Amino acid sequence: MTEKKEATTQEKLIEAVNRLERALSNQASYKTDEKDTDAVIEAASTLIHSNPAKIVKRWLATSSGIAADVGLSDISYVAKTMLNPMTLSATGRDLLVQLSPPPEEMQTEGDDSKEEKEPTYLSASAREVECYFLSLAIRILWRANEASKALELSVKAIQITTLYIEEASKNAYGVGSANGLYPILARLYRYQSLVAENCSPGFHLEHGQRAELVNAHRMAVIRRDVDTQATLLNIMLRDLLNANQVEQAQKLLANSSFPELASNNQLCRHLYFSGRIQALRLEYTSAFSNLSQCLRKAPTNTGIGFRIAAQRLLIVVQLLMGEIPERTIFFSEGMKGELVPYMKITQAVRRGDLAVFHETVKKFTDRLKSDGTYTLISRLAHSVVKAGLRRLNTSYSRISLEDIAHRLGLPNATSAEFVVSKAVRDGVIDATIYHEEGYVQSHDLVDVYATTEPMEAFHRRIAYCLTTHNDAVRSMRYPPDEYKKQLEASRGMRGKKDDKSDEEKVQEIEEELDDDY
Amino acid sequence: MFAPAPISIAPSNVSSATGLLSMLTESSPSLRKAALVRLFNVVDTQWHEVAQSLPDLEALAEDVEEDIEVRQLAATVASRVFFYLEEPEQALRLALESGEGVFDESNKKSKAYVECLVGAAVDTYIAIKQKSNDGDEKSEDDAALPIDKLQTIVQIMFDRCYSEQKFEHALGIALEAREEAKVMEIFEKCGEQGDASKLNSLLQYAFHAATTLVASKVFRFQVVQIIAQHLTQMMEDNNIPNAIQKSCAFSLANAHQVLRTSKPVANIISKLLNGTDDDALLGLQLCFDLVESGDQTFVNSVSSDLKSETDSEASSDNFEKALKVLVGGFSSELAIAFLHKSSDSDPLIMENLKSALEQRGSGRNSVLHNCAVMAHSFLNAGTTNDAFLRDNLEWMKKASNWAKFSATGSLGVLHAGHITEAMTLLEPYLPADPEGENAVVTSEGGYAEGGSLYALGLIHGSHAGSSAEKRSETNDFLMKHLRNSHANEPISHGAALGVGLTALGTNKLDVVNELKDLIYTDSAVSGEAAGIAIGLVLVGSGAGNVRNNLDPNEAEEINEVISELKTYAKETQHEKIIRGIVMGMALINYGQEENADYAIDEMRGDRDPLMRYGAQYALALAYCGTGSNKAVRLLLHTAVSDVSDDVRMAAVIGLAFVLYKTPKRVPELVKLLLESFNPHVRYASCMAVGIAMAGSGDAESVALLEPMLKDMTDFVRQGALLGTSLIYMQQSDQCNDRKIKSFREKISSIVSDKHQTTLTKMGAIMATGILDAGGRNCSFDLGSKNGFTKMTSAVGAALWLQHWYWFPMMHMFSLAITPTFTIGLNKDFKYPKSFEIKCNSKPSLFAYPKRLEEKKEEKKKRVETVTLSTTAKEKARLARKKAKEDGDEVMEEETPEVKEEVKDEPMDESKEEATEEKKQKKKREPEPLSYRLSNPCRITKAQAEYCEFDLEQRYRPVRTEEKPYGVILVTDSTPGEDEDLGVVKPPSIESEDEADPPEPFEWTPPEETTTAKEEEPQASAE
Repeated sequence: MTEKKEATTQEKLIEAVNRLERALSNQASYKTDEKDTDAVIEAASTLIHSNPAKIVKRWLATSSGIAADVGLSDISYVAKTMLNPMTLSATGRDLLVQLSPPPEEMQTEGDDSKEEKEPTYLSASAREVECYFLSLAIRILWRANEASKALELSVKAIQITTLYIEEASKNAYGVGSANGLYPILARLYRYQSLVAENCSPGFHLEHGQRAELVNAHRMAVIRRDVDTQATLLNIMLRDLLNANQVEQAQKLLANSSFPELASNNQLCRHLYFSGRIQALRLEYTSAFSNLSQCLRKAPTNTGIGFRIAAQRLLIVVQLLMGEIPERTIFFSEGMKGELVPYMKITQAVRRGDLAVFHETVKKFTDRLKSDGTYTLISRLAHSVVKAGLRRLNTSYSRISLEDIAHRLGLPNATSAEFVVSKAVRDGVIDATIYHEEGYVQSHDLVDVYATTEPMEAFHRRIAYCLTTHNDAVRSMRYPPDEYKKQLEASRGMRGKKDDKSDEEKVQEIEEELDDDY
Repeated sequence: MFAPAPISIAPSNVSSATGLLSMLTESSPSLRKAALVRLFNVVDTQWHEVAQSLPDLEALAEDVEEDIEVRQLAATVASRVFFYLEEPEQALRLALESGEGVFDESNKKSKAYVECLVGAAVDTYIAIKQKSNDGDEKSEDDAALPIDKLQTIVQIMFDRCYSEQKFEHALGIALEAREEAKVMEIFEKCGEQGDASKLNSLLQYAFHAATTLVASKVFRFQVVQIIAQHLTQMMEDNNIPNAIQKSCAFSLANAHQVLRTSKPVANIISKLLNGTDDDALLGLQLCFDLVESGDQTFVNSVSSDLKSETDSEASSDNFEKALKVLVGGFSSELAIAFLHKSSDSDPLIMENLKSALEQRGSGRNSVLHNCAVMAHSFLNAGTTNDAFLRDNLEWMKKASNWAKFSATGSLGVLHAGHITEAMTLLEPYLPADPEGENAVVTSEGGYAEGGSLYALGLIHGSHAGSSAEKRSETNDFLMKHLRNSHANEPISHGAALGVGLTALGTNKLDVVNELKDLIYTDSAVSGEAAGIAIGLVLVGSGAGNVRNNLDPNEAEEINEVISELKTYAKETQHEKIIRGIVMGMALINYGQEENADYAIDEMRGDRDPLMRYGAQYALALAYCGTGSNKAVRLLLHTAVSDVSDDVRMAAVIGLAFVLYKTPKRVPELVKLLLESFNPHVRYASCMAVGIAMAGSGDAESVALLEPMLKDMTDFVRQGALLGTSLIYMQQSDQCNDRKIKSFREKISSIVSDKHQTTLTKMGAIMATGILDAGGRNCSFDLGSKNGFTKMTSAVGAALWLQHWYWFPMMHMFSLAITPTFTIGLNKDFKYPKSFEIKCNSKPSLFAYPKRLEEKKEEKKKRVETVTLSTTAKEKARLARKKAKEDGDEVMEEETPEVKEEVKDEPMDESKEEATEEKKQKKKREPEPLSYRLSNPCRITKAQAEYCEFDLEQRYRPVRTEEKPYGVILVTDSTPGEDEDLGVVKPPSIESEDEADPPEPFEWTPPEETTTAKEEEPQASAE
């Protein structure tokens, strides 16, 4: 990193911080004894209509681009210049400043700029900026593989943030509330759990630590802090899954409610975890729907790792349901290499060749174990057998059990007999076993059109079409009062209320999406 | 949360509660107990597991065979789980079963749990109490929670509030739960502290909360009574500092005004009047405030009580003064003197209106002509300025028949409150003395005569503070005509309305009987007037209800009359009479709240839409200003469900009356109704927004009404014009980004637009009058300074809205408007000229709008200006956009100014005078941020927020903490020095600059119209 570049990132960071300061102080400006009625009314209306949490969230999204470039020294420099050491934010400031004792030349440079302008400390956004810087610092440390340092810092940062929130909840109504800290707190918790896992693979929380999370989750629910609530719930689920406590995870999932207003990213994670828990608990249908929804909602431009994980799981679940996934998904961009073992397995299942299946699984055991899908895949053996049986059943009207055992790679005719009888009972094949003669006689194809099967299938399709139709209609519906905005736009009011161009908005959305991954 | 609260109770390493849960079904009780104890320790982390066995836990808690300890433990655990499951009610139910110590806050871990449960407990407690107070049947879920246990929890909360001195919090719960005993207890606890100022502020707070937030009238009265008791105690306690006692006296007077007990008020006033000079001034101030609240009945009873006290003591100068204020009509004199002197009415507005009407040949349209005459009277309401009428006698003569009635009546609006000259003024029009020698009342003609009687009524009845004596004199005079003019409809109509206005709220039986006789003549027009007049006489008395404010001696007879009227309304064929009677009923129920419920329900359920129509107004007036949810619900329901257009209309308008104290709610509520397919509902929504937001200049409301100006239905456009003009009342040219200018242009263009229908034009003409009503010194406001609803204004507004059916009701606007003036008076009721009030705003923010300039060009130019202004807007937008792109860095405070500059430019091209103004503006220095207003001055209600007293100057107000608005009594800090005083003098006709009284213009029958026709081309040629 050259010095010049460093200066620019610093400037960018300062600029971003100033933007937040402006946004938040606008929001609080009703306090100022401004006598201009319009300004007061406007401030009051923003106060009612906008929540500091939203402002901060939007700001976090827009400034994520800068956040990717900054270094520790930038943060500590900016923290030094912009945070007032005389107030509460001193703790965080000290922490940040200690992070990178600036090298000599930096020091002088810093001094120069200090002489140029009086240090103007932040007022409205001091708490938010402090906590945000801490979160940035944690991320940088974590990226630099200093996990233990990061963990330590994250614990302190969470302490500071919670302290602020508690202070604010004691005496403030509306303004001065710490709502703006909620998204940052959520972020800090997420980093903490990431860092903690990084410290030791396969790590899961001790009882006491879990209690703290539960407590924090409870407080978030009571404060209606949607971000933290969603994040913590996901962290707890993830932790329980890491500890292989599927039952507990399931109970937690069943007894807790995921906030509707949570961010899309958290929702994706939640869907993934619930899909995983359900898959492990043999609830394949709901697992399938959750996982496919998760994949649909996941951002397309980023977060490839997450999508791969979800896709793997989805393939396995689909196989377990007795379906064969589309071939195209194995070749989609970025996933090709990652999904090779799964494609092999799918092929084995499709062919119903138990030997090939076992061979493939054996070959990729380590890989599957690290993916966390090994347990599920070992359940697949049954499906393989079933697929094989079904093929045999259609090919032969009569086949001896021994042949079946041979074809399917089963040890002997007796075990083949068991497998076939199970398959008959499950309705996989329609056949009769003649025990004495030692063969299986398949029945003639039943006329499915004589059953209710076509009707049900038809119903399913109609239901699907109707839902699609309704969804489409709903999504085409104009939002209420939208035409009024158009009216206003034609009257030249637009510039006043919404000062963002469409491009900026698009950028914002994109940044928000890739921010979390 | 990571650091401070490690698990305090037995940190166990059990990470699953499954084992413990299965122990619950063990047969051994000790095992179960042990399991429960352990469960309690882990429930905070493993609640999701425990949740699976909730039914077991609940069963354990309810199992009578179980040990009590086990049951309580089970309940505790289950309660916690419910808490985690976000079901506080269930958690509370189980917590109540789990014995003592659950609500112990010392345990840090369970702080959130306890707070949540206490919150739930207080909520349930209040809900149960409210239900039982409303008299609802106890439903099953009530039984689930034992009230006594809840009470103990709430009591703990109360005790905590007491110990932390948070009496306001406790008071909130007590008021919500409607417990007067608790309210009393809170005051006593606060009184025990011995801090009088604290108790005083608490009582003030309680009074405010009780009057604004308590929905039930009965409970409100109870609370206010308690407050009054405590205030009286404080008044009698001599140890309390003088300043606090003064403020107590003030609140006590207000409290008694709510209770409508006149004796104590008279008592306080007389005590103050007998005190020091400053006390006496405060007493007089109280008198002014009483009058300002517009409840004449109450003022009269206070004054009679005051008189009886004066008899016993030596009658002093101060008593005379107090009586002068209360019943002598002094405050009305002040108002009229101010309106006359400071009138800023623009003669050109009327000139333009007149020529616009003549140009298009609509001078012959008697509806528009009548409207223009009314607009004139609105413009000059109460200013006594009738120069225009005198200059345009020929024009006025065009009115015939009922238009003549209306035109003569409009003199009453012009001279509202001009009591001293009333008779002289109206002499030429008054009917001959009916009891004179050869008096014969014919059924022909009599329009001017009737109108003059109406005018008399308006002159005496428009101001709440006009002289009571003169009023009753006039009432006798009018009664005479009423009695003898049954044969002539216009005269009896005018007489009936006049009687109603002069006997407003007197509850006189003989007057009511006289009016009833008029109804029984079964004449449609006079019957309607008589019905309304009965309402006016009995306004706010609640006659016909079980509870009423009538004199017990006469109550029975009056109730009898009311029930007769109700029957008559069902029998008569005349819709007008029915409407008159139901409006009368509505007025009678003014401010009655729940007392009127029965009567209203009866009317609401009637098959006759007119009855239902009256029910809506009755609801609106009975709950006027209370914001009652019940009333709003009923009105909204009717607004969307009734089959009659008129009823729906009335219901929507009613919302504005009920919610006028929280005006912002009205546009929110009627937003959807504005988009209704039913034009009547749209019209009413416009009016409702206008009435609620009157004089606010609120940009959002104007934006709501703006599309309505282009509505397909003509009367909706009328409503939008009226509504917008109400909103823009008393706004300066700067209001709403200077859009007010384009609105003014719009209304003047509508009048001369031949594509607009009569109804729309009518709206535009009336809007012209409303915008600058009362010489730009009057506001349309239903509330008084002290938060009381002004009865005259509310009644006036309700009756004004009846112009939809009967044009002469437009005159009632005169009752609805209030002069907005501030005057500092010394103890001799003279105003010191050096007394000033500081206003912390730019002078232009509340300035009078600029006057129109005479235009020499023909009207064709005018059409061009309209097109220009739209292109101008377009230009302005482009320019603004450009300016924004250029000046991204401009600070926010600067941007509006930039906008204004840019906007000015194209606008000004269209107007010469505006260009001049701009030149001046460029030279002019930036406007000062504050300025001083001299005594007396116009201060609008919005402006009062920016104003403050300058306590450094020689004259100081008696109540410094109030906003300068209305009449203010001032003390002189240096009494010895010379004073420059002004004397309040009502305008008299003789001393005018133009000394002549208005020429009696004669009303001539229709052959005159030919001459009018001849004149017309001349007029347009000019």
